[in-house]
Amino acid sequence: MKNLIKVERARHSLTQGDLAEKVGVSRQTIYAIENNKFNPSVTLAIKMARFFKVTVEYLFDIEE
Amino acid sequence: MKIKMLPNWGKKLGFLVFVISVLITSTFIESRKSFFEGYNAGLVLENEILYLEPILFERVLGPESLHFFSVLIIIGLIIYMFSKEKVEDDYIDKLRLESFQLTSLISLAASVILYIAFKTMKLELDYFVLIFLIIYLNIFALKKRHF
Repeated sequence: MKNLIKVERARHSLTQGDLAEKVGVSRQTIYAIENNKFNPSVTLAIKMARFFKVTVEYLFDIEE
Repeated sequence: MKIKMLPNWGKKLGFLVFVISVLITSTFIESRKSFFEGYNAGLVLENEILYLEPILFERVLGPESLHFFSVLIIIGLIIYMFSKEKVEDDYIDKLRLESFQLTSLISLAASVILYIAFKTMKLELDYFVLIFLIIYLNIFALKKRHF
């Protein structure tokens, strides 16, 4: 699954640690999601989409 | 399966229990002999060959208390192992599960290989438990720090 977390994070000038704190997860989790090592739960995906004020479909997409 | 974990302060408590117990057990005659002669030799070495006086806890509580402190070492590690991280999430759960899987596989492989290579080898249970806990904690720490 590809995602635009890194792009959105850069757009909001946030570090991995900052974003992790805002959505209540560990920094390792953000790193793992950005590098496609871990697929987030639906709850976390929605939390991140709401934080960046975008849709979940925009933030996450299935790789064809 | 979701296991109920201890709070994050359990890590400090577990580590403290582990370190104190290791320090105390290291003062016992059996441990000091093992230090000089190697672990297995230390267990069978007669006092006449290397005469050591009991000190500190062994003098007060007797040599049988070594078992109690050895159990405390294991309990300390178990408390550390079952304590929550500062931030608990699905990814940490995944890392924990992966660490358990890998540790179980390593332990199983090591046990089978040892049994094949040394049919008559006899090990005490605490060897296995301690090695399992130490391997698990190291794998989990490495996986966490990898990123």
